[in-house]
Amino acid sequence: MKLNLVPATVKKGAAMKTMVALSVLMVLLATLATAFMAYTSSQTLAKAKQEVEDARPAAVEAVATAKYAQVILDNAKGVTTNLMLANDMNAHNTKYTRFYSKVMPYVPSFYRLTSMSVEPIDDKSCRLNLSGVIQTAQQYADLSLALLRIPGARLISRSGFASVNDNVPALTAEDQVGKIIPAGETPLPTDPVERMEAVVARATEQTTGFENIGNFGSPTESARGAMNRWSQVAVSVLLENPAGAQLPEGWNFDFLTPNPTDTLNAAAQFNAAGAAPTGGAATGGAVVPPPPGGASPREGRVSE
Amino acid sequence: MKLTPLTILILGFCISAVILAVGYCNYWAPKTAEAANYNGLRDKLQAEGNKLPRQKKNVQDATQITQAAAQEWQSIVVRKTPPNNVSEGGINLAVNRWYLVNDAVRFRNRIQMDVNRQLKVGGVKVLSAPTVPAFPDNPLTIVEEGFGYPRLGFPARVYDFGTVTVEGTMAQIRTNVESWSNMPKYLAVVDALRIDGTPPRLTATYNLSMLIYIRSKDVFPPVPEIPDGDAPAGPGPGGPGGGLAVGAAGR
Repeated sequence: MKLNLVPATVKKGAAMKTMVALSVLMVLLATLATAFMAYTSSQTLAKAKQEVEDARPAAVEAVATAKYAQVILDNAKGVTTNLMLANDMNAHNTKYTRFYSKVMPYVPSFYRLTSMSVEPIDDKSCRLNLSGVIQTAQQYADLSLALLRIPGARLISRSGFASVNDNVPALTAEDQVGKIIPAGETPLPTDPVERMEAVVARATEQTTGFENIGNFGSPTESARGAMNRWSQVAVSVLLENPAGAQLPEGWNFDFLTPNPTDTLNAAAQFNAAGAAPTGGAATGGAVVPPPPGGASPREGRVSE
Repeated sequence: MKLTPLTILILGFCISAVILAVGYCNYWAPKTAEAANYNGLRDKLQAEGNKLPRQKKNVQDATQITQAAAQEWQSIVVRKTPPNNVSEGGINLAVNRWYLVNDAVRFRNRIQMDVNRQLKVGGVKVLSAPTVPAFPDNPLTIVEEGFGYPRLGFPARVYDFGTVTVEGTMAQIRTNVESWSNMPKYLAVVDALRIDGTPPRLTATYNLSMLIYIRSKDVFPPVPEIPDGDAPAGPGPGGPGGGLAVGAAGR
């Protein structure tokens, strides 16, 4: 057995030195690490700032260029507005006649037209209103089917047909046969003598003179209406061109009318808001720009 | 109290931790975050800068569009505006407004003649025709009320004439209606065409609006005239009648 004769304080002193050295080393390392972090982060930040400054001129120029393009368009807004208005007005004058020419082949020959018009609904739909005369209930039914063949036809409303269907009457004491008679008339007696007397009485009552139905037989040159036992029928067809639908060439349901008053007022409000100088007035020569917008005549003669 | 080795180690560790914390929180974290923000900004700027060629192309396109529109508009001006001369059937807003009142009467009559002529195109019989309203006869307001200047930004006149009725065959009516697109000196639009009757005597009813752009490089300023209601009751220093202000008149 060996005896440890070294005092305990000697061992603690060596450990103390080691710990102090270790602590100092740790502090030094931490200081170095902190310095590294400060240096590296500063470099990174400086580099990022420099890259931003490098990228800024191109971006600023791009934005300025975009604004300039918009300014060019805004400055020409007066001209383009007036140009569009003029073109729309000129184009609108042929819409109705072309549309009627397109529609006419779909109107059946048994439907004698006396009136035709169109109501605009929106830029994709309109309502075609027809008025004319037909004779029979079958024609009344066929008319709807015929008009549904119009490209874009969606709905049909019709009115005015007066039914003249023949009816089979119930038997009575006088009429033991039940012959077919027009609607609204009373059955004729079966007995020949009584039937003759009934027909004579009916003729006496109903033939009271010239009836002038529908202007027929009159010397006037006004349009003829429905003849006796014919009907004046009004038909309305909703025509629609939904998005994506293909219509035959030449069909157009946009009957919205260019409105010069509203268009000019709206353009004036736009200009008054300071968005752009006015342009597009009718200037005399081919190269003379329009008169300046907003110029005050009070300042003297307004000129270029 | 004596410091033990362990205490020294803990002390060194704590001091190191504090130093590291200062380095991280004071330098590393904020500057790295700021750099990240700058990088984000850089990316956005670069993305915007990459649009420069396209924006330059947009400027070129906008210039071409406006030039094409201006040329097309000038062609319309030539065909669809009255001349800048009263003797040729137009109107000149550069004359003083006392003269302009008289010129406007002649101009109105010329418009009515042109409308009357246009109404008969196609050989139709006119059943109902519009009347062109007169321009204001007040030299103080004729430009503002009669030609919408400077309210519209340029002188122009709109007539909503209302209903026109003509009679003829289908071909005559078609020619009549479509001819409004070719009316010289004016822009006209036909709306709500309704055809009644049976061939060959058809009646067409439609609404007519007309727009007149006035050619004018110059507009005469208001004349120095006192409105009727504001005129002095009796003869003033300027002579009998009053009403004519002395001052900066004319152009």
